[in-house]
Amino acid sequence: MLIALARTAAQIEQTKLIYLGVGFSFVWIAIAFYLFSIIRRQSDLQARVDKLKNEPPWPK
Amino acid sequence: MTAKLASLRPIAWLVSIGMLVGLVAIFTWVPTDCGMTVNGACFQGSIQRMFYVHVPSAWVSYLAFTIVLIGSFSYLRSGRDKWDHVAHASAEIGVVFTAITLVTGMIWGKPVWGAFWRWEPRLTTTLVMFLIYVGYLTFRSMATDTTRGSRIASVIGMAGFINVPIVHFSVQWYRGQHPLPVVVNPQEGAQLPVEMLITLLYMVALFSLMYATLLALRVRLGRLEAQVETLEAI
Repeated sequence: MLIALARTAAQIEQTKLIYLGVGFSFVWIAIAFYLFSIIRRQSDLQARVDKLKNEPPWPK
Repeated sequence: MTAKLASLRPIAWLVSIGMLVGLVAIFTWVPTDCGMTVNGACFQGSIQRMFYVHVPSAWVSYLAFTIVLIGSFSYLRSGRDKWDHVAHASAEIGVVFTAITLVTGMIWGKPVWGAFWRWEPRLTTTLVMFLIYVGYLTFRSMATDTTRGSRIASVIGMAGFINVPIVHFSVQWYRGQHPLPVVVNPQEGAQLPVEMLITLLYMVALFSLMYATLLALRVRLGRLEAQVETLEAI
């Protein structure tokens, strides 16, 4: 009985650790993804600004 | 601009190293929560460690939406674009951190409540707050007249803030399953062991610094968007 209870407790603890791992991974992945999306959008826009500044003012 | 970005690099490194230190503290220094036991096992156990990212994320979302309120108000008052960029950037970061709060709360809730989601006051009001600011961002992306769109978005940003105190006080005003505040508790004061309190405050400070760094980067992006719009109009 006690062994069964201990096994159940160990299984519950293992499940909690899996959830914890998923949760923490999600946080860092979400933040990293957002940070890289800002950096990517910035470099795209900077390239567009540079291109627009270097274009001649008259139509081609 | 590049010099400004370079000045953010040490802060970004500080946040990254600080996060590693925080993770070490969360998993090795802070004791496992065992305030309540079921069949000899801790009721919360290791899943309670989610607290150290869930609460700082919620704090950052409150902070971000407060900055949206200040930015929107200042933009309507002064008409200066920089305030509009700040409000827009802060709303986007706030939405990201509200999503993190909701997801980490759901992952924490499953082993403790037995379900990912419960339609209880704190969860429902947080979801409403998330949807309000998703609406704000959607409106901004769809507005064709930039100046008019910014003005209307400012009004939405200010009106949306009404929900922030409702989210915070929902656990005290209505009966639900979400626990009451354990740090800022007007009735009983802080109720955490000192290691938990120090780690939580450390993570809150670190998340706030991360928010400031993201805000600076996102505001620059807003300026670049405005610059492209001006150059394309010539």
